[in-house]
Amino acid sequence: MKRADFLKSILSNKDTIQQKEPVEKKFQNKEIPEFSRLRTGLTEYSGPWEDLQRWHLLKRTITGPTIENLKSIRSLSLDQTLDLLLNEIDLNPAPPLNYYQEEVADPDVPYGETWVNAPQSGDPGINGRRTTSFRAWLFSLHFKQPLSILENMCFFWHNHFPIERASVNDPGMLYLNYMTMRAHALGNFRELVKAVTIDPAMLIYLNGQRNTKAAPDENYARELQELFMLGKGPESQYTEEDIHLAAKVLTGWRVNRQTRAPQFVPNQHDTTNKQFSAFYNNHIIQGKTGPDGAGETDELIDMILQQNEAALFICRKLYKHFIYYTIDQQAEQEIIVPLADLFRANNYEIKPVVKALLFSDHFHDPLNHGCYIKTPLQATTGITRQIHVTFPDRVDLLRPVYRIWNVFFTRMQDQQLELYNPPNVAGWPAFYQAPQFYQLWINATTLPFRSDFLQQLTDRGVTQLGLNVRGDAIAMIESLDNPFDPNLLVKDICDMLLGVPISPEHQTYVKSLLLSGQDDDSYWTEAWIAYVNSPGTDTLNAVTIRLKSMVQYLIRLPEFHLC
Amino acid sequence: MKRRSFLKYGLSSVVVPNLLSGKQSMPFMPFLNPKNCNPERKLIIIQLNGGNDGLNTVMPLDQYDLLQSYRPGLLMPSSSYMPLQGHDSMGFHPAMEKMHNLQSEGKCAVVQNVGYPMPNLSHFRSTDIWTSGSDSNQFLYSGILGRSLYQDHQGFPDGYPNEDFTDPLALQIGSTASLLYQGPTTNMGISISNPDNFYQLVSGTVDPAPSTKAGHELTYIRLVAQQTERYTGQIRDAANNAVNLSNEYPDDNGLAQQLKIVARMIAGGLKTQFYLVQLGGFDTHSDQVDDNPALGTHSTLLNRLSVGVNAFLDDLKLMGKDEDVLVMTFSEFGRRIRSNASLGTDHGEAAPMFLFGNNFKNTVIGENPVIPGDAGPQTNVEATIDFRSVYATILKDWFCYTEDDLDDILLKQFGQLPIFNDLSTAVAPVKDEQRVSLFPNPCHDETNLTFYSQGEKISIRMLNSNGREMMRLPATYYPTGSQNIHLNVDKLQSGVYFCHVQGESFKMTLPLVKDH
Repeated sequence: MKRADFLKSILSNKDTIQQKEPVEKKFQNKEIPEFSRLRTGLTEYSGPWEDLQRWHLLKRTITGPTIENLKSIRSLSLDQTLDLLLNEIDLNPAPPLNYYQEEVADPDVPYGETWVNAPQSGDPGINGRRTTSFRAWLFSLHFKQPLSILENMCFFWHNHFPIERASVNDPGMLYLNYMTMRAHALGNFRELVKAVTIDPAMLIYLNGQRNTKAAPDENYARELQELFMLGKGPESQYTEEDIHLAAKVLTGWRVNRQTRAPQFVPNQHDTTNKQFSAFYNNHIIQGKTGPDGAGETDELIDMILQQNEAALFICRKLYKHFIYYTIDQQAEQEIIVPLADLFRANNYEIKPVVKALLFSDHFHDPLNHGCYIKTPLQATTGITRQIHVTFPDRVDLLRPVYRIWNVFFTRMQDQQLELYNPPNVAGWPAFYQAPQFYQLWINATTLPFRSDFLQQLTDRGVTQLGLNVRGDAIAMIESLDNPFDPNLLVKDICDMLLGVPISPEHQTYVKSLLLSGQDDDSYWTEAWIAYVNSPGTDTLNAVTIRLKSMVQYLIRLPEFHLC
Repeated sequence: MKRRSFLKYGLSSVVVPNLLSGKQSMPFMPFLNPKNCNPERKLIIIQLNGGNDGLNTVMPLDQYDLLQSYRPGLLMPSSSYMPLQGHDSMGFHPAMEKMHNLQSEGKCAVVQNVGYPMPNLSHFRSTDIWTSGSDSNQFLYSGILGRSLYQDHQGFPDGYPNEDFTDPLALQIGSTASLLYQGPTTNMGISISNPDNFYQLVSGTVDPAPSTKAGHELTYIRLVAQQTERYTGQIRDAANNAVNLSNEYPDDNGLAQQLKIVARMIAGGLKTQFYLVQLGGFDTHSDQVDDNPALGTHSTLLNRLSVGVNAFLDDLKLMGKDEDVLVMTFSEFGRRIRSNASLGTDHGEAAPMFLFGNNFKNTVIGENPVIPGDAGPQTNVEATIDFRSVYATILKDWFCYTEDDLDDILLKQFGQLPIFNDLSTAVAPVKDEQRVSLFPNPCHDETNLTFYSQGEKISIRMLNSNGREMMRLPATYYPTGSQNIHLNVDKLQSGVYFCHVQGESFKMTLPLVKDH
């Protein structure tokens, strides 16, 4: 069977499916379908590059792509688009600010200034407000993200190298940790691991700073291999002794809480030679004395990176982050293995690997479209962007704005994604917990939270201290090519919001929401033109009410939660 | 007093300890309400989308010749129209034979020339005015029924559904999130996206998910959504609890199919009081009639309305629910007096509304529209009744909202219309606590006992708080219907008494407080 025919039979031709499986049930597909798909590997995708493919790429790389985002890449090739996504990097975003002076006076930081360089406060009130500021700021970074994969990669690495904020108890260190992720998110994995290993928040979180030659603490040494660099796959054959030895290598690191800097304390360092197992080719890390002891840490990381398994492990994780949560044998052989080769060949530079994956035939395989359940970030922050919620950029409004950002952060927390407070050191289970994986985001508790908050955003919005923000349905469609044509409008908005296309009959129904049950398209067209020609309360209301109704319907569809 | 307080206590059993304060405490309130409001009452609204041509629906036969001159080709011979019972200057379109029958039985009422001042001829804007209840130059972001529901349910949706309110407050079939149900903060309605989807809901089927990874995830989300969708189970159970009993529903009538679903839900015990269904296609700019003016688009639509409502009422009657249901139609506007050159009519102003039910005092409210002798191309039927008066009447008489509530809901005062019989005597036999009332209570020397007899012997006794019998009316046969007995209690000392009413089909005890 030709590929095109094959895909057609799966994706569009219901009759064919019904012939194969005459009894269609409402909830079929309880098992992940296993059918022999056609071969799609790491080869560069050269098929159609149209809005369908553009949306797919954008939805998997940035949070809540908008119509504007789509239009801005229409003139670019896939190659150019990937370069844009990978190179549009703002490594130094404006830091989080003191919005809270009226609530709790901070003696070290004036209103409107950043607190990230101020000394850690002993006042729980101030510490709490700074933490809130940090959370709000994290939301704002995701909300404001340009056409760049950077924020998504920061989330990827934060999930990979998580920190539980309570164990650190210093928002200044959390900020530094995030900036470390950001600096290396699209840089070099080797450098990233080295930076993370002596990141003050990580040294505290995984007890690196308590690791002494007299009483080695294996916590970080274990996770470095099990969770951060090698994983627990069958080929990952490091031993308990390797963990013990790695802990010894890592002895001597401390955190200066005043300067928020790592310090190497030579007399706490284990200066013995450490000979690792056969898995590491019996490699010996020579014990070093004095300040040179710190160098053993880098040597340890280099040693681990010499194992093939390291690149395979990271590539599998990237696959699960960008494509789907199961990696079948074929994907392992045709995607993961060559991708890992590429990773090694590029000395663990991250960008070429991400680019190759997103450029691949496999990524663009229609069978990989629409199967990703939106994270709370994608659902909540995403819709916030897509329906054009805006936040005033005014110093005098910092307090309500930060508080509103924190509301968004808290609503994602309700949906079981609280940045800097993962369930444990393995990150969020949606990325590793078999068999449900992404499905863990959606349960009887979280789904109503999702739907209700998204509905609220389209409706009364969020209000803090008299400042109200909400979706702007007009802004959402204003940049469409054909906002006056209800058929195209519905199609475009469905394409943006839904991960799986709905049937033409269903689209007609969605259109009827725009038409308020009238049966002629011109009702919408006239209403839209009336608004464009003379924007006033009456013409604005007529279109807003109907757009709102449409969006509220779409965000309640199960298809909305896919991308 | 706010209706929500009334409802809260009206639905609960009598709380005796509060009696002892001797004051006019809350638990007495339901019995003070002369209407004894029936919580089973429903309102079904049929929205006629597009602007219904009222002149072609209810023909002003006394001005037929003039209208004929303005609408060449559109009118049938005057003898084709069916004169209304008691109002032979008004004639129904012959496509509405069933509605004509209903009118002659007193079950269909016409409210003439309904609209609002300074009419807006845009479909969308006028629809928004009709559903929000705003003035023409006012913009409201909530709807009439949304504000009505808000009176009793300010916390919605937090904590809903709950023990007292297990079912949706308002249901919509055919569209989503109508402004009509929009409350001050949130939409109070639940929409069943369309009849087809409703069938899916009831029958548990849906378009299959594709056999792909995406289909697998979609299936999973659907499962969770089904578990968490508020009210889905209630709606499905209600629909599955009952079967339609009428054979009158035609298959090719979308409105009838929507009403059929509503009938099932009502018969199945759904407590939802508001239902919105829709019939579209009334925007008859061209080819409103065929070459034969008895046929054509408008005739077809009117027939659908007539046949659909008739089937619905027939069904409800067979199910024993017809006493509880009121049906109302509205359209965003009427149409121009003069027809245009394409056998159609353009957007107009006022038009009639129809009401269907069992309790009408009058079947015609208002007069025929006045067709001016000098009507130009822009001349319209002028409104003589504000649509908000119709709502005010329904909310007060049918749903027992107070004048205070009406101020909050309609934001201005609107006169009420003589539509309904005194509904206090038209209460259907419902729950025990609602079938007996004492008024006034507290009382001085006399009070009135009202109860509903199924055609049975009923005895009445008055006990004091120690259980000693102080008065007795021996068992007497009372014919079927609401009964009112005057009780003279001037011999009783002031205090708390209990009035035992015992028939063959029921037994009820009511507290009575006698004041000094």
